[in-house]
Amino acid sequence: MAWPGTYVPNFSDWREGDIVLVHRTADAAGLAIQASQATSLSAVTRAGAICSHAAIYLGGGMVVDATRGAGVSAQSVWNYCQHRSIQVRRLSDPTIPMADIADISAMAQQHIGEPYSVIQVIISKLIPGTMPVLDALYCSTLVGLVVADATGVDLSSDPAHQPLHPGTLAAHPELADVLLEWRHL
Amino acid sequence: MHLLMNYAFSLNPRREPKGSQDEGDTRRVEAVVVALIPEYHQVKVRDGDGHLYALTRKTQGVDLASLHEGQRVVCTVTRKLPRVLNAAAVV
Repeated sequence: MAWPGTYVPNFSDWREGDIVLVHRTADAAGLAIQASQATSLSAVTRAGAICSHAAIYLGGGMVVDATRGAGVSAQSVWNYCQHRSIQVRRLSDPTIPMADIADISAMAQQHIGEPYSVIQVIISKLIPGTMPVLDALYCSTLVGLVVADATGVDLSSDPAHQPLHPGTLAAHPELADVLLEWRHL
Repeated sequence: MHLLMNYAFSLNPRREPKGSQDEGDTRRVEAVVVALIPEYHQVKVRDGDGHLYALTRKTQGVDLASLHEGQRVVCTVTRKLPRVLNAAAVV
């Protein structure tokens, strides 16, 4: 919740289905993810190593993401952007139908309530190219599966993007950055 | 000269994946089913170069429920942001 007189992100420029990436974190799991990405064999993942979490923008300042404890859930993006820097990205190919882009957020919401597992994180980090374990979702796995379901685009297509980590999404060459601004209410 | 041309081609990062054929904005790719993910309405296939593609509800020409792991498929894939437009199982 933002009060009049405060600054808020330029949500009006964000689009449903955008990928919201959270940089820097203070908890042990986030630091472990960042450290793992920084030593990844993938140059793309290393380039985005500072990013520790990925979510899908639903509109209205809300995201769907997979987190420890809450599993797949909807929450306010405000929980992230108050204390940490964020990055918002979207598919850069203009030939993808807008209806498919709109489906990303709708399909993400269908998975609310599904579990998150640290096991998925460990497996995906140790075995490149591993397929998602569906009873054990990981934040960027959720993003990759939902984007593929809605648009047909497999963000982990290139071997250099396997496994798909938050850091991979942060530096993915097929995603474009949305300009972020803080606006005065 | 021939060897030089081969070397130059090997340095080209945009070279075509194994088993693909150029068709303008799309290319034809042979791949093998590596995972069935019904919860997300998709089937993952992998080509000879390790590229993954997602067959989804929107992919034309193939019934996802009829596919099984190890099955070979032929896909028409877009060049940019690889997306499978249509696919057919190889019987």
